[in-house]
Amino acid sequence: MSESEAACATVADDLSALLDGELAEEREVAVRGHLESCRDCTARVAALRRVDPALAAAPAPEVPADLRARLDARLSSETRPLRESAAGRRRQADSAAGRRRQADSAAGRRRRARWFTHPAMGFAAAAALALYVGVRAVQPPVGPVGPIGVDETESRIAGTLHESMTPSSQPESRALDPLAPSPGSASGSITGSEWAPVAEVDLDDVSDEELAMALEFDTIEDLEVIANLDLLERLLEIEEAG
Amino acid sequence: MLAFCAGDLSAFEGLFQRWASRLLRYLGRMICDHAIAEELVQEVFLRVYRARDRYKPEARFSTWIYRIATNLALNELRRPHHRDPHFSLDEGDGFPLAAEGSPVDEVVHARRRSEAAVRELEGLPERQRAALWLVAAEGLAYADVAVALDVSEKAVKALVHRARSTVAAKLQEGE
Repeated sequence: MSESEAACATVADDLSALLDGELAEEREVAVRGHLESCRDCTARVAALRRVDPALAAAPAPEVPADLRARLDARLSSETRPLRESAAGRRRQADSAAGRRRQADSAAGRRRRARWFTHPAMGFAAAAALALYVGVRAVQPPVGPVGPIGVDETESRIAGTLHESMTPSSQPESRALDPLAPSPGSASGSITGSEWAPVAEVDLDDVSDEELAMALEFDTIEDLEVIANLDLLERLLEIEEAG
Repeated sequence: MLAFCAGDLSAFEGLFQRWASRLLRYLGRMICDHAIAEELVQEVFLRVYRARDRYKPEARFSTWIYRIATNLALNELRRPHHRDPHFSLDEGDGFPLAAEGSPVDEVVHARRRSEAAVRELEGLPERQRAALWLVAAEGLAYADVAVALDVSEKAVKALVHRARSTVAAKLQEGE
């Protein structure tokens, strides 16, 4: 390789950075110095310089008129809870209370503890808690992107659940009754169909007993899932009361 | 973005108006499929909406949003069903490379040069394509492109140079 070719080789990889103003001052001076005496490298820079305007001149696509509407629809479906009928909620709550009474034995407590303390259950338990107690929408829909008025915690819980929910084999109704032991799953694993989405449950409808049972979820690893501060305060009060 | 994070929901509209077209153009170049690009634009804004609590103003918003867009584009390109890149220049008005009143052949030549450049860009390896587009068309600094692509600045420098050299060689063939 000749001396001039060697000199060209040392600046070749810096030519684009020179055009982009990304060279350190000292290096820029050295490269420009080489260009002053090298027609080949000067020609290379000229060729490189034609690229950016050609790309920037490419016509920009028009944003489709309905793109914003489609985005709003997706935002709405993300933040809106699926609401149960009041009768449905009561049936779930009564059924859950009945099962808990029957299972209130040492065996029942051990079974629940095994289920809840299984390593796989930590986050699922926290998610189930969020499902069970839920949060209430407190504001009517407003704003250009749908039900923005929905309690932000609800959307955060829904987002958390959407992103990291473990599939469940339990029927949809079980999603609202996570305290019921899972038949044939003494190991505590949960597999199969999807959980029902967050149901709207008024906190006033959730008894202290039910919240206390929820505290048996001693493997909750991420209390941020309990994003509703009112609920968290109530849980802490119950825990402190012993 | 800060207004939106503070709860000003009308600011989200402003973000959309300001960024939808640029994102559509970027993602269109990356994916070479405008239907999918439109879906990805929606996905970018959904993620912006979801992540508004986590946005830190120390990071430039353009860097942040391009990072989201690039990740989505690269994930899409890795899907098995993704077709090979193809030329997909949009129909559009205006040939900004040629000044008004230029002879027609100059206008045509400028358009052909632009088409050739885009065609060559869309045939580049994905990271070279992203790096060159973000620098050349979107004006990002190497440091910002490094964040968007999750690579080092040194890597950005190399990616941009290789990409630009390839496109330049193609344009020279056509001269």
